[in-house]
Amino acid sequence: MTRYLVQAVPWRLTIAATGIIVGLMTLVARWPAVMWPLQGTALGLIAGITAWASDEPAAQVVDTLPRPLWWRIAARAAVVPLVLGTWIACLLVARSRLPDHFWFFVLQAAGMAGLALAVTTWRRGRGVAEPGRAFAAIVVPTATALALARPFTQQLPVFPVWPSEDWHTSRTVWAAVTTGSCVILAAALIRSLRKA
Amino acid sequence: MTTTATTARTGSALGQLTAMELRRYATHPLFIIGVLLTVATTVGRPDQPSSGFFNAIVPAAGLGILGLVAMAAQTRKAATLNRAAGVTPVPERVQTAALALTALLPFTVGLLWVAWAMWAQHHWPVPDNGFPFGPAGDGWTFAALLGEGAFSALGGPLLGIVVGRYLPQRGTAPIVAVLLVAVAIVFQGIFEPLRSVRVIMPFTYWGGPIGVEGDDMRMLLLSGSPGWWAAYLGCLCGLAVVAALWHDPSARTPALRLVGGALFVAAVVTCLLAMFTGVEHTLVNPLPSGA
Repeated sequence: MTRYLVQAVPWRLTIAATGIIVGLMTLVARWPAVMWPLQGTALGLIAGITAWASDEPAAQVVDTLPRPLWWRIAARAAVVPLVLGTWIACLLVARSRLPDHFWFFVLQAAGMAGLALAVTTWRRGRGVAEPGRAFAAIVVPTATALALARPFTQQLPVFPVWPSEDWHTSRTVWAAVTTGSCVILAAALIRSLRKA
Repeated sequence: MTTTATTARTGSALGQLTAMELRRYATHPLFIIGVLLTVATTVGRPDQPSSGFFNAIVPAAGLGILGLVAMAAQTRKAATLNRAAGVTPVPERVQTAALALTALLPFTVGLLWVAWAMWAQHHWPVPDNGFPFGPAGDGWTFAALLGEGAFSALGGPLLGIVVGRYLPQRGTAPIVAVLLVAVAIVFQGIFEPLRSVRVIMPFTYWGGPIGVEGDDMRMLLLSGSPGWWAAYLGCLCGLAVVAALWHDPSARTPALRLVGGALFVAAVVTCLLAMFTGVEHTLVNPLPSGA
């Protein structure tokens, strides 16, 4: 599995994007009130990194080999602990300068990574070779635009920052995203196991 | 006669390609999300202390940033289709020109947003302690909104064509978008040492509740000339088209070189004028934010 992992994951892109997350969170930690949109942008990158790692450019060949889809998904999902670990490290280092909602921020990252993993696994199971590229092209800029524009902050705070914002609703939304992603991922993996 | 026939054919190919690319762009999920976000800002009364001014970030992000990634994907797809076709039916430069004309669609949406923002400014005037204030008249307001709301909507997709042509690798366009946002936030005018040079960025603010000692929401009006800044952004958009066309070796004619050179010189001059003319230094609204 390690050999497959080393060769299959786009490491240069993964490391570059992870480095950008660290840079963005450094700016957020330095000037939280001004730079907060970069927190949502970094969360978009977490989904992007997970999605890019799910692509199988040689799917036409690889899908005919004995290794089942779930095995390859499990190997490629190794980027998730890497990127979540980086995120948590950023949060811990900057903890004193960020709003006191550590576990909420962890939930946001888990939701983003889970969503990317669920969508790309589902589409890989349907025979799409590179679902990550298309998904990342949507989720990264959309997260960035939502973080900048902050529409409907009263009704649906996606990336809350101020104490007056509705953190409870936001927590519910992110918990629903994470749970829904886990359900979709489980369904896709069970489907893959049955096929195998 | 042959030249006339070839020109007519190229013209007709450009028209057909533009129509096709426009249809593809209009139905791209990122464009639809951007339009919905932009339209959402026009529903109801805007932020009271600045009317629609602070909403300019929405078309810039929704049509510009999303447009960058959408257009890069569309450019890459067009190049892939051309490669798959083997002998290309039209030169790359015609395809690039069609994509550049397609960018007029988000620009039009941006212009409509600017028209709404100008109307909102008159319909719901900002209070005396709001923004803009003092020397910022209608012309100043229009130029700033044009640059922030409309030229961002044009420049993002045009930059997307450049990225799609030169850097078609996986993940490049979203990462360019993220880096652009990070740099633009640093240059938005919050940090005093960067205020005069902030106009080099394709998006920046011209004031707002930046605050002073003792009143952290006090409205400031930042230095520079938004009119020249809008002209500078127009030059940047032109340079993006030239750079995208340059990717096709057959398009590298002396005329294109001349246009590129002229636009570069104009961009430098207008940027310097945006920096050193207009409002001389940061102005503080004489009325406190809570008044």
